[in-house]
Amino acid sequence: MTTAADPLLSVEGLSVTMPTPSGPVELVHRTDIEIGEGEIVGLAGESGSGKTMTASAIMGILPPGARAGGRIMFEGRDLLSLSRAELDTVRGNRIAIVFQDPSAALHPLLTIGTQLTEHLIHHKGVTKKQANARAVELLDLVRIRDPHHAVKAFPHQFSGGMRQRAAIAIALACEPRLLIADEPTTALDVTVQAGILRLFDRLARETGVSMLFITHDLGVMNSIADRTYVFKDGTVVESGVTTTILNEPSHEYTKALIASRAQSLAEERVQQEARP
Amino acid sequence: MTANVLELEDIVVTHRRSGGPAVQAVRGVSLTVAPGQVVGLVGESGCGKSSLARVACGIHAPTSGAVRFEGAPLEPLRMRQRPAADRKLQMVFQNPYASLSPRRTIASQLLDGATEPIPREQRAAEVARLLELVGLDAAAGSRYPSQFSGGQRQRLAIARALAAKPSLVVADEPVTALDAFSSAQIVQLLQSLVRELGMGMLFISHDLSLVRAIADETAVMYAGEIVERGPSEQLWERPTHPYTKTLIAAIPEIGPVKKLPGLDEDVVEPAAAGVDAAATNGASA
Repeated sequence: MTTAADPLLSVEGLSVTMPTPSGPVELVHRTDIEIGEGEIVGLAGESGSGKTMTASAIMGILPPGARAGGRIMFEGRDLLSLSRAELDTVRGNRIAIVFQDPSAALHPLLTIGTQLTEHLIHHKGVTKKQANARAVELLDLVRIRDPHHAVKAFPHQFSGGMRQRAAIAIALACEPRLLIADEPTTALDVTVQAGILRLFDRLARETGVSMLFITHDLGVMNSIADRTYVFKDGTVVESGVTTTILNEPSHEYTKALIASRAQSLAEERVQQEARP
Repeated sequence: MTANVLELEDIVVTHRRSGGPAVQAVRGVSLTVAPGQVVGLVGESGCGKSSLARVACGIHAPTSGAVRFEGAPLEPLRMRQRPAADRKLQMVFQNPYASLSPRRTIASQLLDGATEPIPREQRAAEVARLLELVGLDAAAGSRYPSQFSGGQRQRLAIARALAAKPSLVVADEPVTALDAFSSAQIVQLLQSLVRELGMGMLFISHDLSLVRAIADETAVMYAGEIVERGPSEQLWERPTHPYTKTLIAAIPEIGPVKKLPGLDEDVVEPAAAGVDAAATNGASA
């Protein structure tokens, strides 16, 4: 949990506007988010609620034409005011991201090792030999078996879960302070998802990296995030300690999200059938 | 005579691949669905559930084994229209966009699957009846699929299936592409339709919680075989097979404390296929 010290990341009054043929549309409205050192913070909500737009604004990867207003304070600087060159020293280095689909995030024609080391050589200026040694360490950190061989493998030789582990290793290569994970387990089987969630949890404890974890699955949220912001229609409708929000939701939207979970439907059915 | 609407007996499906050994996707599965019953088939990627679903619908013939629909052997689909009797077996797929023609109005395509011709003057009433069954307004008939949301399109795909007055619906991941609210509504809709119309349903999903919410009986599939089956609630409360236990333990839950799902971080994921070979090639190159 965070202390009274300055948060690692502080999003203040963020708005995101996209141009459309019928004029600009505001997709995120005056949103405030804080992430403390070593904290795992969740963004929950349905598709289109603005959670990915918020993460994209933090990462500086908004779609072309989109405009962000407000402030995103990170390590004492407003990310929204940085030049392209300044931003490039932050992205992939101080802040890294893991996406839903590791097949799209990994280059199909480069080995896992190359994709790990190009990153290190670019941002950290290490030698190729040092980078190679670090690549093996990183694959070991994310528990990919036989890392000396795995660095020479191509993405297609990995299963979906292993690809996501490799993508996480690449994101962690430069020892970022903040890791953004955008629906990182949504495309995975539930047994594989459990392993990846345990991996994220261990990485946060072992490396002290802070995380912004985006998911629509409230069960996943309950298992990983210390605090959660619930998004609806481009703004935060409820926020607080995850277990509190999910066990005693105060906003109608959060209640409705919980009630529509398959698990809630199943329990409701059991109760109905128990009645005479 | 048989009371079951669908009977799968000792189904084996083998996929032949060029340049590789044949893959046995389904290894001797038997399954029955009775009228008014929802049977859930749950399993993870690659367990063979979709291969089995295609056999159950008669899209593919099994490599061996028997498929009986309403007591008679089910003829696999060919290029021509299916015999009317077999059209009482209907399907609902994951992607409703692919089940509806984008260029025809809803009213003009909803009755395509009807087993007997419907006189022109009764068509509008029949379309309205089907739309009402799935909770849509009769005005929807004059619109095109693109004018509906994903959840509404899945309702339309269900209405299209109901036009044939089916005795069995095979639903393969019917809510996987939908958001939580639409998904919950479709599950409740399917449940009430089974109850109202007395048809049987084979509900296939990767999500055990979802299957628990809708199915009377649940079968758990792993590596081409059904490893455990039973009344859904009993299977959920007292699983006996280790794989079922792993599957249940892996489902993330909302609870009073933050708790990670699963039993161990080192899940039994098979080592990457061909990695060793590639590493050797890479080293010698």
